[in-house]
Amino acid sequence: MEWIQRQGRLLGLTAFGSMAIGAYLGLVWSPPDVDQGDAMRILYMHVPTIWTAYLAYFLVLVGSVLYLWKRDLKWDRLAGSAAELGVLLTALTLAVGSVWAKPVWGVWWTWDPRLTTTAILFVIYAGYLMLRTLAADPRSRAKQSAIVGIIGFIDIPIVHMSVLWWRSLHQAPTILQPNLGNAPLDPRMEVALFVNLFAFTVLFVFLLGQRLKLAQLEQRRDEVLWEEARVV
Amino acid sequence: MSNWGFVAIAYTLVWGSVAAYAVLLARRVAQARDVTRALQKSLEHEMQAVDKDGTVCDTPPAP
Amino acid sequence: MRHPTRSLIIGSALIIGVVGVLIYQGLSNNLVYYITPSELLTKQNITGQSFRLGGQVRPGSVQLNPKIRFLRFVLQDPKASVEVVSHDLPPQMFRAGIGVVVEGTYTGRLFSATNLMVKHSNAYRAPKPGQTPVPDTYVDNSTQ
Repeated sequence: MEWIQRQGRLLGLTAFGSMAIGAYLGLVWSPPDVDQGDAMRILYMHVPTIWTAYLAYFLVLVGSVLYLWKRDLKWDRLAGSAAELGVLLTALTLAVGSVWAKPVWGVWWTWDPRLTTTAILFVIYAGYLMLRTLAADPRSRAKQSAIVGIIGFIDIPIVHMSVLWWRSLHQAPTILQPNLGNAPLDPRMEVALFVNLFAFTVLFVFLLGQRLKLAQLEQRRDEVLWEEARVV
Repeated sequence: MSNWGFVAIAYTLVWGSVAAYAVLLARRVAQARDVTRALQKSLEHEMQAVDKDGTVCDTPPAP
Repeated sequence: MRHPTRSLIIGSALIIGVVGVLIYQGLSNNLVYYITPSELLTKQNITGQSFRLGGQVRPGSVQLNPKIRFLRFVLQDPKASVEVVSHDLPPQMFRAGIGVVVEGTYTGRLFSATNLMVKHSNAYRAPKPGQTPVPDTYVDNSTQ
């Protein structure tokens, strides 16, 4: 955690560079899809945003469990910081998915199981962030949000498996599917997708480091305020 | 709208939001740092004043 | 002074409320997102209700007149088929043999669609050399 906070410049530059390469590969170098045409290029934004959102919620889970176990506020800072990024990335997944759905499916939105469970995912963690602003005392806030952070994670496997469990309009996964390592994807598209997945992961780690720095500063600020209240 | 139009909207949405979030985050970090520093300074100042008064002060110095 | 327990209750109630509404909206009467033509034919009393029907566009069955916005095709599954009419132009990926989900009502003979959605696969392939990807708007080549 301390390492990613300190390596801000390295991570930021790597993220920026690999995003630029990813953009070139996704928009220029990779071929269009035979059925969808160029609309398929939205995949290179849609998949990395939800992948990093899953990663964020996994870190919320890890931070929540470790806080309840160790009672160290640094784990609560990890959970709260990751949740903010997760909500941003889920909102982007929904927005970009909607822009992709219009030309390909013909509608901006439909209450299909995958879309519904993803909307629920957004609401759960947006509620989690609201809960964090409600509580006054940092210890009780950490405990309450840890419980929500653990329960909320149940929706992630439901979102991912929804297209395999129920009839849906959304297609089945291309990469994380039962026949792993045999993705029905053109090799050049696969390269473009993995470069973008890498770029977004580095970007996520960079932003998380900055957000953790902010959480640490805010905690110190509150401690100083308490101290001052005691002295005066 | 053409397919490229939808692609342009999607990419602008993602990059624009991420860039806006990064800028906003940098500003929040800078602000929190300034506020914490100012508070710490005034706290040290007040503690010195309390010490000079000869009052017993069991408060440890601020980190 | 704000009370932590009260804020916990307010927060959880908000989350549970909104999640509940979403589940009700999305999944209540359609835990099954769409039904198939064979399921439709075994159902009684479904006329008049709006529901979703999913299947494959039977090759050679598409009649489209963009001028008067009229579309007619046969939606099939391996066992049964239903005739669908719509007054909306289909999305670009619509073609014979593709999977579609239509929203609308069933008259007992025809399915009148208010919404047509194309279901695409999870496979992405590049066009072969010399082949061009689909155009941006639907071109009817099922009658050629």
